[in-house]
Amino acid sequence: MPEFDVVPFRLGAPTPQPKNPKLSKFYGQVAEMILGKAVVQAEFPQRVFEVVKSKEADKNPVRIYERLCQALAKISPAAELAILDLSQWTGAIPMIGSIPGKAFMHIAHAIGASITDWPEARILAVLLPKLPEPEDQAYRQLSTYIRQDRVILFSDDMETTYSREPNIPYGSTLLHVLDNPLEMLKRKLIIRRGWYARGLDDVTSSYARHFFDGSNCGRELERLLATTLRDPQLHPDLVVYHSAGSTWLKGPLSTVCRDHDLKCYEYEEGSQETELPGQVESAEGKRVLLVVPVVDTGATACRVAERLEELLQPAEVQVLAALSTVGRKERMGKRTICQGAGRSAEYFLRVRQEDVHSEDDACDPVRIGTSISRIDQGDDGRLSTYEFWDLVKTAGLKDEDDVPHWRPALGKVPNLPRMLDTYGCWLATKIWAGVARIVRQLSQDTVFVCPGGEQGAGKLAHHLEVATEAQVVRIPRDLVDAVAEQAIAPSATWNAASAWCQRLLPATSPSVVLFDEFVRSGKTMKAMRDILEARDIPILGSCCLVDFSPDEPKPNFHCLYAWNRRSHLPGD
Amino acid sequence: MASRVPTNDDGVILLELLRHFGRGDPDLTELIFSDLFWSAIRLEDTQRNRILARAAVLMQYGRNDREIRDGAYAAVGDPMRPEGKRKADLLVVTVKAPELDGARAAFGIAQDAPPDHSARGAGFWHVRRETPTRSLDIVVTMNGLSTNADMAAFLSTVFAEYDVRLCVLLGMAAGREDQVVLGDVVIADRVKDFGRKVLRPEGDELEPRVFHPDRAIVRTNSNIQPQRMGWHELVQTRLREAMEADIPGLRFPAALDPAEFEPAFHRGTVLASDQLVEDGRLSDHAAQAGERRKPIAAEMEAAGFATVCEENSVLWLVIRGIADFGQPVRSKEWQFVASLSAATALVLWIDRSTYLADGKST
Repeated sequence: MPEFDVVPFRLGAPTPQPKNPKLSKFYGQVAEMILGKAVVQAEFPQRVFEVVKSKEADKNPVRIYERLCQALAKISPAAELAILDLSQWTGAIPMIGSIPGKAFMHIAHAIGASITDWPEARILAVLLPKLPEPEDQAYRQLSTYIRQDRVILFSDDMETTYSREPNIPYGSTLLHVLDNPLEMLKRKLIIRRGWYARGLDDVTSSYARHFFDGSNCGRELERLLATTLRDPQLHPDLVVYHSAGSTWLKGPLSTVCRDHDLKCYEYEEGSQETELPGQVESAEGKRVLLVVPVVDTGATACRVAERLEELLQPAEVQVLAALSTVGRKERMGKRTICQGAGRSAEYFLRVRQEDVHSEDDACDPVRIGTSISRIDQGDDGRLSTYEFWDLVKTAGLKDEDDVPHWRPALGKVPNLPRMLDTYGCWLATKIWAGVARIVRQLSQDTVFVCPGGEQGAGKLAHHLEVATEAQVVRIPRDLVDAVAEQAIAPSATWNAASAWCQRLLPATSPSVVLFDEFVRSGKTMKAMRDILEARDIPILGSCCLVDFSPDEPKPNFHCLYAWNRRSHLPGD
Repeated sequence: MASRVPTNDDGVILLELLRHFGRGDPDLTELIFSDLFWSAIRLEDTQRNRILARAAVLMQYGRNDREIRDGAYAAVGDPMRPEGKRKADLLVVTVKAPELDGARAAFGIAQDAPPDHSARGAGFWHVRRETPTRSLDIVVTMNGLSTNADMAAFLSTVFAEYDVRLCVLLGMAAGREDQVVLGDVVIADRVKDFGRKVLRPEGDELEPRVFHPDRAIVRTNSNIQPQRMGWHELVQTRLREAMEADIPGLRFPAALDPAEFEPAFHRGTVLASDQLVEDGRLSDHAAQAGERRKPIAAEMEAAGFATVCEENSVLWLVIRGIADFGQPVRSKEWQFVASLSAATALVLWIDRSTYLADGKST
């Protein structure tokens, strides 16, 4: 049977050899997806992994080059595919975020130097936390191989450079085979950007820029809570829930407590009579677990824990938070919440908050009069003018890439891919909410279709899949372009062997919503429409993040924001 | 239907974003401007015009002259303010009480008359003047605060309240002793902001900014010789009336005989900076600013005044009576007389002005 191999290399990982059977299964599925046939992993029981520890990688990144070259030379001669695992999701790299640019440069050099000695047909799949930008120097180093699909990059964000098949189900393999609720919580968490006043009184002295909404992470939270409640170190006798506003943790916590036969009460700050329900049982000498959605400064959790000690006289009050804005570890960490009392809180995930004091120059509610955000505000599926430009300011601008041949580049445009990196789930749920307003039949059976191989559309596709569990099909970009330029007939794009065709041609045709990162000339949308209509697939509507041609009529169309990008400045 | 329908609120937010976001990032500024223009042209006329006018202020003063920019920005008028601005052919702006008194005396407004309108603490006196060819609605007001920025800010209130054809800055100034005498009047052929400078290691280098009134104004200035139009008789009459009225607070030079008061009328440069000249070196300052020959009047508001008027497409005129020579010890007894002298010259200027007479705004 054909073989694949895993490059015996680890970057910063303390354990040299992956023992996890889930991981072996995952590698096998990735190899089968790429090669399109059953394969077995080459076995080298005694093979030693080349390891570059984090500190070493930081201090002397050239070590990465040396060790990776050695590791790449160890690949089984018969392997048709090698997998270099640098994914955060798989645990191959413990580093937070992404691989530093310098390290990736050495990785790219090592690959470039080694791959020339490989058999020409062998493919190298590199699993990364994030895809580097196309203009990244390291990416450019590998661009020839990437174009030829000899090197295929996959990211934890479920993106790929695989041009032959942009619909390769790498993401669903990550989700289902590795099935990591913590990673899913991180990816499904909605981060809304606004101005959230701190404190319960009317005197606001500072604002939090983010509201963390875990309302679509119920399953993940249930699993994480269940694991935590079973932990013998915690093992509470009584659970108390408290939230100053967020409601998304209450449901999952109630479910888990019910399943574990644990009493769970909700604590509300206020008068003694209303703090806890009257029927709360005595907790004297018992262990109480205070569960909160988010710990920020820790002051509220600390205050509530102290109050619970007064009210219930337990042996101990421990604090568990789904999210924390402070903490050394990004996942499953512990932090101090009451400096003096030495109380700490455990948390699942560390998140990034931004605080702005009302006297700060950048405090827009004060200097501009921006409205204060409410955590319970409804979603009409749009971004307000302020929200949009605030996001643009945060994400920055970039030169338009992936420019279609038929129109000039727009020049500087909002960096939507970067915007999606942080706020992708928020924007994806907005897209869903907006499309639901114009398309009555919208359901999980609806298939969202976008052009493949585009950074912005790819990231939006990923977040639609993760946040809304939408089905997404990517039509290869070269086919869309060819139809747009009338180089081929729309019907000629259909090939029963292609995964995208197979997804769109089941026994009963699915209903489709088209989407793209932004719309300018509308030709890409039209080309996708022509391709689908060639097979009589019903199109319910279309959507995008930003519409740069808002005055063009577009039936059943939704966008988060729109204006005519063309400059109206004098001289233009 | 467009995929986004902008509202007035959107326009206002975009303006505010431009004021605060765009600084230092020209690409972002350009993008927000493109949204602003696209949005504004879809709004109802009044809001659109106000938003575009404010956008023009921001384009002009995007990164520099923050005080003037903010003053000009406010002067354009709040886009969210409802319709219904008052209209005036001529608006006379004064700064200090003796100037307002002089203007009221010249235009026949009783010194104790309450204002016809007020806004943000400022009073506005309305008067109609019958010229040989038509009647003109004139408004007189007083800022109360010196400096160019204060003047710019004050005009924000003025222009939020009034649609004006011509705006006149009237009052007193310091003059050069070798060119003018106390009570003379200088009408501005140009205004020079001589406080602007570049700080260099080898010493400060002046970088004056010059403002030119509209050609129609300069042309009118050239055609007017008030002495031949009964100016001295007019100013003497008004001066006598004021003296006889014994109005509390009005001060006059002790030895002044109204019958012998015959001021001269000069066309020249008004020097405007935020510095009060009291060092007796006005000639030196004028020379440094490049003004050696022409008569000058030095004051502290005309640059801000001209800037905001131009931003609002309002024609402007500056006319000043000489009240002192910028000496370390300045007597204030000529302030009312100098202002009255300028105000009476303005009355005649109005009567003769074909610009105001023909009823056209440009």
